[in-house]
Amino acid sequence: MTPWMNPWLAATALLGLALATPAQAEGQSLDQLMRAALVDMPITTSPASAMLGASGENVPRLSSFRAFSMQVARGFDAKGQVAEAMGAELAPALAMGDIRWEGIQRSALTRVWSRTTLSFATKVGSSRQGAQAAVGLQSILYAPSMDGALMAAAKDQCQSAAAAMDTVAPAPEPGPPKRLPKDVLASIEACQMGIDAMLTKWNQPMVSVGAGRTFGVASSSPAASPKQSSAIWLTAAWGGDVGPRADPSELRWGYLVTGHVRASTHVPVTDSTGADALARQRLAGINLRVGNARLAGLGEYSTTQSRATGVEVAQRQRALLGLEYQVDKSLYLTLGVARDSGLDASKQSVLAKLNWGFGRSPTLLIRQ
Amino acid sequence: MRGATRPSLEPPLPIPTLEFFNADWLLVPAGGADASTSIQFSLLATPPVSAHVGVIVFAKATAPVAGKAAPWAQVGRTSLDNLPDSLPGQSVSLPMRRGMDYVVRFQGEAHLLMPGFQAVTVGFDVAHAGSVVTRLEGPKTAPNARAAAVHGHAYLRCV
Repeated sequence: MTPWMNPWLAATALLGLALATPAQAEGQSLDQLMRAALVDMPITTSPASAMLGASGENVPRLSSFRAFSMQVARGFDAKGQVAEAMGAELAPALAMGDIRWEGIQRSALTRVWSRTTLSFATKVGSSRQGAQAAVGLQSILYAPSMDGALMAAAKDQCQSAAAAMDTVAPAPEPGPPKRLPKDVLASIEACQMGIDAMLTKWNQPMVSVGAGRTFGVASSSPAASPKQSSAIWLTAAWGGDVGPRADPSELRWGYLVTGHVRASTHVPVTDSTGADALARQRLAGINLRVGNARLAGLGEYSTTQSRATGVEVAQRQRALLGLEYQVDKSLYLTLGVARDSGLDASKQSVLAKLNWGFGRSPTLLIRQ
Repeated sequence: MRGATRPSLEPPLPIPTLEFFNADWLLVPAGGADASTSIQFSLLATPPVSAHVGVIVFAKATAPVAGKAAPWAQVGRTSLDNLPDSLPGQSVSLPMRRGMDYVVRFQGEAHLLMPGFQAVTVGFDVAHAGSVVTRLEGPKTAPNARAAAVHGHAYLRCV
C-alpha cells in the first residue's frame, strides 16, 4: 500500500506541507502573494459519499464547480462505525469543455447541465456490511450569485484597457505595435481578480436536487446487504459575508448554512434487538460553516429516522464539530469529532478527510 | 486574517498580451464609380471569453503632400464587445476611398467568465466584399491564463 492510499499518512504529509509553505513564500511580498492567489473553494463533500455515510458529514455542501475532484476519508459511517472511504465527483459538462457562453446565458437547462455532477464512492471496513459502493447524480438548479456575477463582472469593471488607448498618430509604415503600458496590464489583472473572486465565492446561495444508488459489493450479513438502495435528496444553501467588502473573497469572513433532506429505501439498519433489516430512511440535517474559503469551523446536526416492517428502529442523531483547512490550491483537509446518539449507547468518533480537485483546461475554439 | 494568508507556491503570472498586426500594407480595391468601398472589422472571441476592445481609425492620403508624407488624422472611434449580453462576432464597418491609407488601431482585454477554463482565445477578421482578407495572424490563444490584453493594428491601403 502506498502512503497515499493510507488516509492517515496522507493527512500527516499534507499537514507537513501546510506548515512548510510559509517559509517558501518569505521572498514574496504580501502583494505578490495576494495577486498569485486565485481564489479557491472548498470541494463539495461528494453526494455519493454522503449516501454511504462515508463523508463524515451527513450534509453534502454545495461549493464545487471543478471538473473533477476526489476525496479520501477515514472516519465514521452512518452507523458511527469506523470506515475508510474514497469518493470522486465529476462535472461532465466542464470535463468535456463543450459548454458555450451563449448556452449559459440563454438557456436555464444549459446552466443546470453545466452544474451537474456525477459522484462515486466506495467504503470498506464498516463491520458486517462489508464493502459498499454508491453513485449519485446531482444538479444545482438555482445559483443566483453565480449567474449574476457573470453578467455584472464584464460590464462594469473590465473596459479600462480600451479607455486607455493611445491616440497618438500611428507610425507611417506597418509593423509591430508598441508594447502595452504596465498600468494597462495591471488594470486587466485587477478586473480578472474581481471576476474570479465572484465566481469562486465559497458561500453562494444554491439549491440542488439529486438521486443515487448504493450497491453492496460484499457482505458477511446477506440478509442486510443492500442490493440496490436508492435515495433522492434536496439541498439548499444560504451564505453571507461579514468581513470588509474590500477583502479578497478568499480572506473574507462569512458563513454558509446548508440544509439537506434525503429519503432512502432499502437501507441496512440494526433494530433494537440487534437484528439486521432493510428500512426506509429519512434524513434531515443542517451544516454551518463559518470562516473564510481557506480556514473555517464546521458544525453539523442531523437526525435520521428509519422504518422497516415489523422492526422497531430507533431515531438517531449526529452532532459534529470540525475544522476545514485549505492545505494547498484545490486541496482541503477536514478534521472533526462527532457524537452519535439514539442508536444504542452514545458514541464519539473522529473524522479525517482529504479533498482534492482540479479543473480541465480546454483551448477554446474561435468561431469560424 | 491578512497575516494568515496562505501563500501560493506559484509565482504571480503576468497578464499575457495577444498582439495582432500586418507586416505589409493590405491593399483593398475600391470599386464602383465613386471609387469607394468598405471593410468590416470583426472581433471573434468565443464564449465563455468576454472581451471589450476599443477601436480608433486613422486616415491619410496615400500620396505625399508638398513632397512630405501626409499626416495621419483620427477619423473615428468606437468599441467592440463580446459581452454576455451582446451578440457574438461584433463588427464595425469602415468606409474607404481610393487613394487613402487607413490604420485600424485596437486595444482591449479578454476575460474568462467561468471557472474550470484556463485559456483565452481572441481573433480579428478584416473582411472585404463578403470575404475575409486577413485575420492579422490570428486567432491567438493565451494558455494558462484567465485574462489577456489584446492590442494591435491593421494597415490598409485603398487602391
